[in-house]
Amino acid sequence: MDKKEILEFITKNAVAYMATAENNKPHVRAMGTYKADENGIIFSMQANKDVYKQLVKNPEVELCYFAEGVQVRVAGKMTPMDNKPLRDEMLEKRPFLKPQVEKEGWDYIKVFIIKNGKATILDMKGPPAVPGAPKEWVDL
Amino acid sequence: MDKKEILEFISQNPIGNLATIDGQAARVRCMDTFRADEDGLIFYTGKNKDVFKQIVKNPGIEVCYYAKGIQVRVRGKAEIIEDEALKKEIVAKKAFLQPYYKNHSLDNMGVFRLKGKATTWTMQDISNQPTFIDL
Repeated sequence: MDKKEILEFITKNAVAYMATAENNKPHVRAMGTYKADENGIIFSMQANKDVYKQLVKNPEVELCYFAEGVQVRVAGKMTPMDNKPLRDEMLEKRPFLKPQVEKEGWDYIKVFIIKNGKATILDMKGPPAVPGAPKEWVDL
Repeated sequence: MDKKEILEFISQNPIGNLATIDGQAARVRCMDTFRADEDGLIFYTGKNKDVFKQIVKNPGIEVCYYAKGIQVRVRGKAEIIEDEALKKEIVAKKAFLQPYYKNHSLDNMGVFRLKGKATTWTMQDISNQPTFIDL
């Protein structure tokens, strides 16, 4: 898969398992990918979540996507971004955020982008990978 | 969900996403859960894989399962187990491993157990902080 195909795969199969590191311990949870394109991969979350506190301390993450026998992993750094340009679209795409925003204000919704991540593919439908072979990475 | 329900959920949805520590960063990949019961969760991989090397260095792991709107996360310390009978059972039940282990020693297989604590989540928990139960 090339960069374009990887971004399409992520857009189509938007559930990411996002791993963070905190105090030398890993954490992982399912997250909906808000957007994936040439500019980067965008996620949103609430300010009271552990994942947000973890990202502020250590922005290095890895994402794992899986669908139809293909696994895509993306390693990168989560950079905070202003949610202002996304606000209208975000409430349309994620109506469940509305009560939160009304109660807490927009600062409660934290948005991050991964720019220049790198991806590695495992296609379980293809010939089995040589065990222990080094991974090949594609720049996103 | 209580402990029994969580173990059933994992048994029915055995593909977890397993996170490990690699230096400063976390890593995550899909991982098949061989078994989930009172004795913990059992996983298998190759000893030459990055995931196994990472666990040897730092046994703190977390696994995330998600199906039908329910998320289960289990965290704790992985315990590496060398049990020839268990490895044979894994190869017997996982056909895709058989071509490799026909020509390679079972010493190449890395098996580990996670007996940790679990937290569950559904959309109703959107604003809630996680609570944990021992598995």
